[in-house]
Amino acid sequence: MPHATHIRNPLQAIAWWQHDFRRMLSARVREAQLGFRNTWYLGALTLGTFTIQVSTGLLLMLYYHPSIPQGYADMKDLEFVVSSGVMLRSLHRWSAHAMVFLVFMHMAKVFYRRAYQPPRELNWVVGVSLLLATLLLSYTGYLLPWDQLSYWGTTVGASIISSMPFVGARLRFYLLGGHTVNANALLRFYVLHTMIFPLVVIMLIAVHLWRLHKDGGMYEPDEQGKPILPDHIPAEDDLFRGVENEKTLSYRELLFREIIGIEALAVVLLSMALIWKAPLDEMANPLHTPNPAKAPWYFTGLQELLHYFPPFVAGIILPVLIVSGLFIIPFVPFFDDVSTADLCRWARDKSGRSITIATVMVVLSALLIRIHAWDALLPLWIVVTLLCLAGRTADQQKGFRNWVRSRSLSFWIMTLFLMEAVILTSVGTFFRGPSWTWVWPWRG
Amino acid sequence: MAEEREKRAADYDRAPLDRRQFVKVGTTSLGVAGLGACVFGFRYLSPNVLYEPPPIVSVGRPERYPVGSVTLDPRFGIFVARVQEGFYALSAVCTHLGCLSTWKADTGEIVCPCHGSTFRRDGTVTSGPAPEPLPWLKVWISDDGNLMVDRSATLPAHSEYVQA
Repeated sequence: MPHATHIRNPLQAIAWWQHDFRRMLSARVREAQLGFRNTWYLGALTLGTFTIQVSTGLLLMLYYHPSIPQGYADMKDLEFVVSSGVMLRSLHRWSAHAMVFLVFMHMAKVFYRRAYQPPRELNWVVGVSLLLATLLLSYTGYLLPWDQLSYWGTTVGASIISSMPFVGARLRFYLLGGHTVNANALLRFYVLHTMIFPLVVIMLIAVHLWRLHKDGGMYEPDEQGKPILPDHIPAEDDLFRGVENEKTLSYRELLFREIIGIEALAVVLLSMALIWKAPLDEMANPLHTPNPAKAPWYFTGLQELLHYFPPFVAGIILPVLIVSGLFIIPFVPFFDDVSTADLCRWARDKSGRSITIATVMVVLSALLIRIHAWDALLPLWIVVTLLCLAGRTADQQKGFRNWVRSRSLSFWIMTLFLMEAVILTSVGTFFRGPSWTWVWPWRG
Repeated sequence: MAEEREKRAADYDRAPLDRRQFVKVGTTSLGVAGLGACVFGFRYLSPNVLYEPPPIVSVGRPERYPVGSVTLDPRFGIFVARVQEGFYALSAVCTHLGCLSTWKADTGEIVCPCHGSTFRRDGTVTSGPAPEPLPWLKVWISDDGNLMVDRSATLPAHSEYVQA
């Protein structure tokens, strides 16, 4: 244990402090782990937005009463009466959007670098849980302003829950504390949003960082593309000896860069909050549904699905399938081991497997065409076209087609999911007008 | 040193529970307590008194509604319709996800603003994701001649028309 008398300057004090917190952050990192292009610092930036959420949220709580109609009046007060109130609320809103966006980006980046490989499976699972917790935080926070959009967004969300067989109606009653979205629901969502989910997120973040450190810090593949495992956790007094020359003190390099990144993000978000006010609709009116009643952008993809499929399918079955698919990615080597080239070979074999794949594709396409879900069909056909394209060339060693051929099955599953998410979300956000009919955004 | 160790071992032997028993008793009692807490927790989460509006409402004099009309009463989220056969009422709460649908007089259909479901004036679904028709509600004329609707009592479609 480095004794306090060993500390001669503030930097060493930081290093010592950090050493004690080494379950959160490695004391030393390899230079190769530090590059911006590895992670884009997405994890740190997400943590930054969460910090902003906690601090602005705590301040907003000082002026917000979770009751009807006081909650809505408090929104107006924050906008017109409270000093800097509108800035704080806008910062909270934009930072929430940024957090959802960054969590998705972080997941995609980790996935495409295959940083979920053993021994990091558990941390991937924790990460997916954090994604879910972030979405739940957004959903519960959406009701609190008690304006028209939040009221109807929550009504729709609660109806999705009640479409579950057997337990749905009961579950909805427990969540809302009544049959409709009312005062009880507002209070329950307030408690979930300000106490329960933040605590869950904080605990999950602690586990996430601890596991990151235990699994060898930021992911860095060796020449064969296999992850470098942690050789050892630096012994107590390695810290001041500098025995590992290839490693650099992480507070000096990593922490410094990440803090710069978070600060830059904070400046961007703060500027956004000063320029654009967080939207506030009319006060919630249970007797009039706005037209169109749109969810926040990260749920418009789901809303688009709800337009095509019955609520139980779009609201329960598909999300459960997607989330369990995300959870099991690191545990099913099949997805990683099968490559596009294998798929193409199966197709040429005319084996049972190729018939299965073709049948699934045809049935899926037929179903989507039958319900006119052209936007959901598009990504599927793009991916299938790419696969067919790759199957037609056998001997090339370089180029785009070869790149396509060397991708794994899990790559295509994730790519399809992300493409669907992006396309359905954009269509739901920009191309849907009154009564959810198709509109062109540039035509008024 | 050795004495102390012996003493500690003797203490251990004299203990009423060994470690295994302790863990067993501990987890069992914790489990029972946790189960009880869950039961009470669920009962606590379900409010016994609700301050929600009553289901039976008066929608006014029958003469207000001409034959062939469909009228949304926005106070209660119901449609009052009058056809040749008489009066009937529909819930305006869309069976898809609970948005409040509206009557479009120009096209003669009921439209939900959230996900685009459309219904005929008798509540049957014509397009969109709504899984079920809008339910018919119990209608009667009260003693003082007002049209009454019970929003909690649903009827089979076309089962009952009320005469003014």
